[in-house]
Amino acid sequence: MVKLLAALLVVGSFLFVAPIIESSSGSTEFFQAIGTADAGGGG
Amino acid sequence: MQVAAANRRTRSVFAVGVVLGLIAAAAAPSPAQSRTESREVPSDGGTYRRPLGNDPGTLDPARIGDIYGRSVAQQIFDGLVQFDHTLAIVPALAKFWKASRDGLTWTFTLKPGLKFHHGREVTADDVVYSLTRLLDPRVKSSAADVFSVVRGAAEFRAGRARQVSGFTALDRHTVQIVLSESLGPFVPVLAIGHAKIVPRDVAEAAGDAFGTRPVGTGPFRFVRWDRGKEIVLAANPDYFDGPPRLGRIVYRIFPGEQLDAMYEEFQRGRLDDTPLPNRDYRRIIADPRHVHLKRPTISLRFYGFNTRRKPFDDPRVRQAVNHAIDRSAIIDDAFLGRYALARGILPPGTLGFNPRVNGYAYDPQRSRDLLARAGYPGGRGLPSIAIWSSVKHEGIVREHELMARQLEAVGIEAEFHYLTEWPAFFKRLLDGEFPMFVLAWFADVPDPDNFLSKLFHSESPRNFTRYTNPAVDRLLNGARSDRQVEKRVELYRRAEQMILDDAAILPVWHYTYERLFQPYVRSVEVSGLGDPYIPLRKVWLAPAR
Repeated sequence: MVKLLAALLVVGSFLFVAPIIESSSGSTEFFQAIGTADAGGGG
Repeated sequence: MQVAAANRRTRSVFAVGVVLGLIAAAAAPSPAQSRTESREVPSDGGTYRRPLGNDPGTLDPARIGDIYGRSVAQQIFDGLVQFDHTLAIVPALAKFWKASRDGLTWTFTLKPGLKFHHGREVTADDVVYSLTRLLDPRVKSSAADVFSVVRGAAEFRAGRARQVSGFTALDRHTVQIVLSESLGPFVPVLAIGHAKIVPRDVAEAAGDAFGTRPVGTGPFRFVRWDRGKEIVLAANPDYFDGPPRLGRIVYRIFPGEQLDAMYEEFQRGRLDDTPLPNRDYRRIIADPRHVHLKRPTISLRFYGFNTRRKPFDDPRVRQAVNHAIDRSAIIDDAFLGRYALARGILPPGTLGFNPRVNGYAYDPQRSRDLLARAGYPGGRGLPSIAIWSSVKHEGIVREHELMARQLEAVGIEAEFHYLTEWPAFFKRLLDGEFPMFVLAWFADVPDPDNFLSKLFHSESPRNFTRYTNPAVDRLLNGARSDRQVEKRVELYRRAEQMILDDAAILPVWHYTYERLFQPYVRSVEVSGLGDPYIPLRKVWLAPAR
């Protein structure tokens, strides 16, 4: 039981502090970010 | 950890599913792309000849403000990440990245062995330099506000710090970016055209001249720029994603977007693609000898009013002009119905696009009433209005003939001026010299902020109309900082309606990307961001040429 609790504690602390991998080679599909846009002559 | 990433993406996809659906629809395989057949062998080398509507203002990615410079610079430079043809974010110079759980600390690892065109390895120090440069007030980058969330950005811009504390080169190939506040996922910001990585040694030595002698990491390297004539790029054989199939790109410059001249050169076989002129449009698109590519883009073409100058400091005069112009008739008559009427500001496919916005109907009597209420009954006392354009071709001249007639019908006299030297036009536009002007605006991220904050926030350097409305500013500020997509949509829609009610602009159309390609051109990918973002490294010329 003690070993199980210790294991859960380790896993829990790992989840709490571990960084999130945002992407490796896949894509991130989200567009909340703002951009700049470009002007053109309007022809 | 991969599971955590997948869950995070699932939530994100759910939140913006509608937008992505529209973007995906806009990014379906192009006719030119579909002509790639397995029996054909890609041709290595060859020169690709493209028309460019004007001389760019600059080729320094941090300073570019027009689509002409963006079109060229996209081929010369890379960022840490990039948009693919579905507008999803994929790696570019970064091999991978990770974020802290609070979304404030982002760590990017560069791909190994990356080299600039002058042969030096790309390092984390170049990344820190390039991004810091965007925040340098001396550079005057229009992307500075996008990076204002980086820790230490305000102190650096105010001159209280020599470096931006949020940018750190952890080692030769690892960069850490720390934000002062979470901005949703930060990564798409790094895909914008300004956030390209430049070589520190070259950019520092060249100073302002870097914009005329750019050096990047991209699939093509800069060769020369003869103003008013052409810009030449050559293939980068050491490109990290494999050398491009084309040997050279020649951008031939047609100042003032001379569509007829471009098409004539295309017909003579001296260009490999061209925009379409209005003359003989229907015959041209029916011609089976060329590939006709057409799809919607996230853009707006409008007439802006200088809201600080008389008579356009009175919203009733601006509203009167809006009601006086029959935009549908202009699109049908002068442009053969080729563009989508803009009822509001946000284009379809943008988060927050409101199909219920109706804008200003063509209503000459209402226009006359508004003029009378503004103190100009029958147009009496109203000075002649100068309308400026950087473009002059058959279609726009016809448009202006129709506008002059429609304005005259309500008592407004208009005179049209053409300044087809784009850099000069753009400078005078930024200086607020034009009472009324025509302009096109192209998104680089399919977000409403691209249009509403950039064009109408009182503190935006791209607020060409000098429009100021504190209530609109509050809505736009709130929309930027809110993390709930639904709330952002609501705020942007309210802001859009207020701007339309104030008639800061006369929206005309959303562009349909439309271009002819020679039949031997293969693998053209056009996203909703339009022509500047076509990855020319993928294009090749079939042997039948």
